[in-house]
Amino acid sequence: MAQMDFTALFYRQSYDRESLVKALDGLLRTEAHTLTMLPYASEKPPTECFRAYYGNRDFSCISSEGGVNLFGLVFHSPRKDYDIPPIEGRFFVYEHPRLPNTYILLTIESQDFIRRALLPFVERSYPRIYLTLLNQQHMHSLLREFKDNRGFTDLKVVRAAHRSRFPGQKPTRETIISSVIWSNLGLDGAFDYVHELNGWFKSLTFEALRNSRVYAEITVTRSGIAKTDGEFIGVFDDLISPICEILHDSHELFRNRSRRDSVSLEVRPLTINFGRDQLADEEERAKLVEAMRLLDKASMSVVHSNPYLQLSVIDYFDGSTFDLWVLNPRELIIVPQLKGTVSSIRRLVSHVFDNYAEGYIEDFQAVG
Amino acid sequence: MTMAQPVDERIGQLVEEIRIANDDYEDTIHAIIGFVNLYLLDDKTFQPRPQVKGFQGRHLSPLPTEEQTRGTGVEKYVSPDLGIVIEDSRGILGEVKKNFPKEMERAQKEFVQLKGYDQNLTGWPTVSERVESHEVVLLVHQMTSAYAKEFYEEYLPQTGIVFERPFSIVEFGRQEQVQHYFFLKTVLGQPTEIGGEKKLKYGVPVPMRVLLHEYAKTLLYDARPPLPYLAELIWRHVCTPIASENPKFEHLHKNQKIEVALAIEDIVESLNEGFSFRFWHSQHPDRQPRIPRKEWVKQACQFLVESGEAEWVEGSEETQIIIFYQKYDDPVYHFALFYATLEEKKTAKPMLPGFEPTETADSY
Repeated sequence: MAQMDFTALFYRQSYDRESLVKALDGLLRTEAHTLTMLPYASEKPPTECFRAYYGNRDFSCISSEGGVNLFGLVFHSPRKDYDIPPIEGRFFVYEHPRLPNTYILLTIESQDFIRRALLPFVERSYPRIYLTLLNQQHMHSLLREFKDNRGFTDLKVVRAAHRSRFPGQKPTRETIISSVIWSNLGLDGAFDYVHELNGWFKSLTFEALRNSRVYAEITVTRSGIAKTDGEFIGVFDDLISPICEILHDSHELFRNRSRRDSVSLEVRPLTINFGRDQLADEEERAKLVEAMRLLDKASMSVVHSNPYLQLSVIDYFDGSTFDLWVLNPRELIIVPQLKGTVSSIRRLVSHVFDNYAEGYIEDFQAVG
Repeated sequence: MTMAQPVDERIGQLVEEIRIANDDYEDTIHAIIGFVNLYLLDDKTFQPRPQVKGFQGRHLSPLPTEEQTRGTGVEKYVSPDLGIVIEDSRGILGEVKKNFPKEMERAQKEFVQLKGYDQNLTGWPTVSERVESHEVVLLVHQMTSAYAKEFYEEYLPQTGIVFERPFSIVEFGRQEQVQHYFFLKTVLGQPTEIGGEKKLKYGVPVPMRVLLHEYAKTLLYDARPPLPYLAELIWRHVCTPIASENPKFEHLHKNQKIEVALAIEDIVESLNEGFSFRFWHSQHPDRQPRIPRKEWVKQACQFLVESGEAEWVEGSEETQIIIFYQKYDDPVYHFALFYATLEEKKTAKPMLPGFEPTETADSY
């Protein structure tokens, strides 16, 4: 008797938001799949956002209804000397029912498709799309709440990619070392470990345990990308949904910051609040300058360095321009000039988090 | 030691001089913003005071002069660095001189200019265009305030310059405590203060963050900025947004260029709209010069042409320019270095008596 191909059956159906979530949950229960979820924000609807042909990738919209879009993507290897078959796959884009400009890209395709076709495709969609940025505290509290809400006894971290800061050859330049660990640490233990190393997680893979039984292996990255091989409803409701909230909040915070967004060309700065006197001395400010010089595809000029720090940045991705000011040791003020896009602000903040120090992003208050 | 080293050192020194000139220019803007906002903003809530107006570079006409020159086509006016009107009746006019000169002759010139404000003037931003009374203030950096005070007290009487209206000198500087402050303190006289608290006598620290919105959008005032400073502003704030609309922009390599066609008039308008004191003058735009002046922008564009970074559109009589936009790692340094290199070439001394530097010699 022929076995039923649930995956083929799954793709034959048409879905709205609710039925898609149910179908994915059912699929993960019946077949060995890993589901990858990528929450993103965009000012453009998915068909417009992704409608393009990028080099070696063919892209098509298969269906679009009820807040669910299904797309096909084919990647042809650029190497002509080998007969390499194209990599083909499909992905859904789920339009968040409540949060405007917020979407979740979902796929059950292979990691090979995701790594070689989908993620480069998504990266090429920058600056039209914007991924979230979870600082360590966000990531830790998000996972702790996920554990508690779903009644797991622990989340055992089995694999983690992290980066750590070490003193460099120059006192003003820290060296950042990337490494991967395989561990059996519990959730809190893993965050203590990385804190001790003066580092941060880029991604965490953990087993969701109830007592000693593993219910799912789940991965979460700093950009809010998650994958799971089970417990889909729980992951969707208690991990992806909160990530969407964070994504939406930061997107709202970063929107309309260009001076051109207001008739009177008003300035709308943001701050990265470090929560401590991070920039108290000249050496720290010099470290920040060195870190900002590492920003890829951008210019950086030091306008003032003493007593206060003022830097000017041009983002060569989309021509956004910023001034960065340090007027007290607790915060870095980001002033978008005539053009300061959401994607560019996100890139700038992400660079500061990765290469200097993490903090909380807030609306700038002149008085207070 | 190679022959190239002294040239590099000279260029390095020029670059440093440009950096200082840029700093001085911005410090002057910060002094104007700092002092005028003492009046514009409530000192407790930092909210605008509706009864106060501020202005920068406004053309005020001496009353008798205006009457004499009416109909003759001759325009005479003074344009103080800063002006304040309180309740449409009291006025303050001021000049900022960050580095007050030690030399007597130059110091005297500063006071001659200030004396121009010490007369009945019309053109104030009031209904009658006049005020009942006004006073004059000189703002100097704290490093040179002692020279200004000494000159006023000891040497000015010998020049015959006497101020009929109240005159004061206020020093400014920066203070670093937990946060950075812009600091203002009277060193001579007693400027009018709203509420009459005499706070300026003991010094007023204004948190820089309170004024950040104004610092960020005010990069030009009615004095000619250093050439590389203006060229960089044009590059950053006028060329970059236009270049970024080009589909090639994102993937443009460092050695590739995008042509950006601009009219001088559009550059002036763009900088005036986004980076001048225009936002202070929205209710009284008459008598306000348009900053930057067209001739400054033309000169900055000519500098770009000489640097090989642009060319004038043929037949446009220097009203339109094509800029070859490139992605620079550090545009501020880039334009300072370009300017310094051009200046160094202009002032290069013959290496041996009788030998003049030529293009051919330079190219070796």
